[in-house]
Amino acid sequence: MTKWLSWGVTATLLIATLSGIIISYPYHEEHPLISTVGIETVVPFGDFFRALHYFSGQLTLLLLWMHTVEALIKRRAQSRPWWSWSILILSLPAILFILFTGYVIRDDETGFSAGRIAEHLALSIPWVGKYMNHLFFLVSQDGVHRPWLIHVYLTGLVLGGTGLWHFRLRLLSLLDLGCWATICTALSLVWPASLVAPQETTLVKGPWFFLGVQELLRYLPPFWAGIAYPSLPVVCLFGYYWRPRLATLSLLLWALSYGIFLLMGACR
Amino acid sequence: MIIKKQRRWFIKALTGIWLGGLGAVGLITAFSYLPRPPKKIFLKVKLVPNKVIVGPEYFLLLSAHGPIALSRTCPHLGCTVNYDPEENIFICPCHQSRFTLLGRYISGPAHKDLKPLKLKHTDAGFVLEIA
Ligand code: HEM
Ligand code: FES
Repeated sequence: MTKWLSWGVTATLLIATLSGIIISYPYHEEHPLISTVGIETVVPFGDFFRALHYFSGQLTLLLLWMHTVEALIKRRAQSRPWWSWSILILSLPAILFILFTGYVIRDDETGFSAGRIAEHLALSIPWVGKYMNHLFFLVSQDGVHRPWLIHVYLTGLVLGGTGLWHFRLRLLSLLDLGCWATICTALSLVWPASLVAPQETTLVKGPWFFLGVQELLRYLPPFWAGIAYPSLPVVCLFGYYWRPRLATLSLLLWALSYGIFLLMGACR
Repeated sequence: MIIKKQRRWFIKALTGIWLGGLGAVGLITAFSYLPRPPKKIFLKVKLVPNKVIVGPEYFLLLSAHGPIALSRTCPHLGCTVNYDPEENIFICPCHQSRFTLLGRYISGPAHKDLKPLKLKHTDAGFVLEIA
């Protein structure tokens, strides 16, 4: 396994968590958009730490995705106990969910719409949808309160689940952390974190990784486009442990189709 | 020996039931929320034909049948619908469902009309109820 990748995930996750803790002080969940704009414009170094949080978060997802692809290519699944494979697989949707709730809790045009859509998608799940919505979103009744709790709690869970696993092997070296902190800092100094002002427009785009789902929601019923289709790769990754060939083929097909939908959504 | 085993099994089961019950009751507490009271808005505006007043949660306009108020919540997945002055229709920015100024569904994935809001016309102005 390429070491820099797995340590990259740990390092960027740590940077995202630390910068998240820093911006959570001036952040107020009762006034999510106002306080985020305040962090961006008034709070000393607020724009920098917001960008650091944003880019370290995006990098965590990207590196974890590469880490998983590498594990597939190198056929690491079968040489590990099934629970260790499951933790790697589960951390992928978990990080995606943390990233997604991050957009929701900043409550700008993108985040507000994403929260509303997520609430309705959760409600489209048969039987348990209402409870899932109450646990994760409920933005129409409770604002960003629940996504905010999930953003922080899930970070703790992921740190416990994957962090412990990695830290057990060897402590994250200062050099690894320093390298990734430099990359994140450089990105934050060059680009600002995105923030979309509420406006009268006919097109709002969701978070970049959600654009494919957003596109599909234009054609298919919410449950199929927003729950069943995005869950397929997770099911395949679990199935990979027992049926690697079938799972790999399905994953490739899924990735190809999602790439097309993502492009279609991005080009609007 | 058997009695001891049985007793241990019994204590284990009891602990399981106790912890499971605690978890289930905890979930009920976590799932709950404090409902917001329905919101009533007082608006002192003059409506003129072909002009849409766009509030944060509502559209208010003068139709051929008198004043109407519509919810801006999209019946598809809950995004906030916008007014497009160029086409003079309502468009949802998330998946581009379209609605006439009376809130009737035209196209897109919503397949339902915009919800009308309760509107009272008094001498002093309009009272709008947001559910
Ligand atoms: C204890 C841990 C964390 C805390 C306290 C925290 C806090 C926050 C706060 C207050 C915001 C909203 C303010 C803003 O948008 O600038 C936010 C947004 C966000 N968070 Fe976190 N966060 C934590 C962990 C993470 C992790 C682990 C990730 C990713 C792996 C992440 C990704 C994001 C993203 C992508 C946003 C949206 C950023 C933006 O566009 O502004 N967060 N977080
Ligand atoms: S939420 Fe309005 S069209 Fe989908």
